[in-house]
Amino acid sequence: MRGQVEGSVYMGLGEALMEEQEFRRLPKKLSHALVHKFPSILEYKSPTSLDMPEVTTELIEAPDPRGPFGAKEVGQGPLLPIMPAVANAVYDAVGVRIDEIPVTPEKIMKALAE
Amino acid sequence: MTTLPIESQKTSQIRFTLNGEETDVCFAPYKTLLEVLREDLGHTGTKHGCELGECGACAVLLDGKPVLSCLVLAVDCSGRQVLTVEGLGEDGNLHPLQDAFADLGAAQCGYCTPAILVTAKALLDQNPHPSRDQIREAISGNLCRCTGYLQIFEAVEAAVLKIAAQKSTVT
Ligand code: FES
Ligand code: FES
Repeated sequence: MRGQVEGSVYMGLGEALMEEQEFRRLPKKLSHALVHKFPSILEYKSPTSLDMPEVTTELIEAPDPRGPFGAKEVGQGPLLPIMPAVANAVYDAVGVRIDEIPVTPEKIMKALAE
Repeated sequence: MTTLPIESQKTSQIRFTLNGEETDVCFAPYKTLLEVLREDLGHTGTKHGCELGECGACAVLLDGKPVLSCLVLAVDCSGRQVLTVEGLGEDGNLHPLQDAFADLGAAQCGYCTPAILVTAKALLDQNPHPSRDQIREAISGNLCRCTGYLQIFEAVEAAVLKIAAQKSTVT
């Protein structure tokens, strides 16, 4: 279970800081479909073991009466607060609000210049 | 142009040591070590991720050093030593790393695990008491999408203790 939480923090950090999905249109005479601009993890970067911060996980056990035998999910929930936490940390540090992920250095520089 | 049936494309042959055993294998000359291991030798423990040298899922030890088997041509492996996750345990027992990974929940989906295990083995062979930062560094080429790495670090550290304990009971 700890792994589910820490894995979610990891994925959240990736989404918050680096994983950008960019799309492009194939030419008309091909299918004109919307496809990934960078279909490779060289450009679509995810955090590596070097980027992962320490995480303190505290599990609060509270059964969910609507789940089978009181069970509830643990996987995706911890992912969602990471993006606002990172954006708020940036605001706290340099005073600009980035309301779009990933929160990249370019966006912060641009916001600071304005 | 006609395409030859797959069996008659097997025009290359090598002999190498796979997990300690002399192995002869015939395969199509364009194949990577990863493909030969999985497709021609049925060793599917080594995983196939990006095939572009980016994810690390295909790592095996070649003469003791971690390599990305999707970037190694099988014809280059003649006479060399290859270790895959299948060869980690001995005499039906898990390797201490495998034991620690299972104990400490260092895998979620497990797709990255075989490559991380062999990479960690290479680290411990070279440096039996690595620091947390050295562990981080050693597996930084292996992407794991699920665990957030922390339990992997802990499992490697636990394996260090297990190996030390084993050594002290043997001597
Ligand atoms: S399969 Fe991804 S690095 Fe080899
Ligand atoms: S456990 Fe799923 S990729 Fe590592």
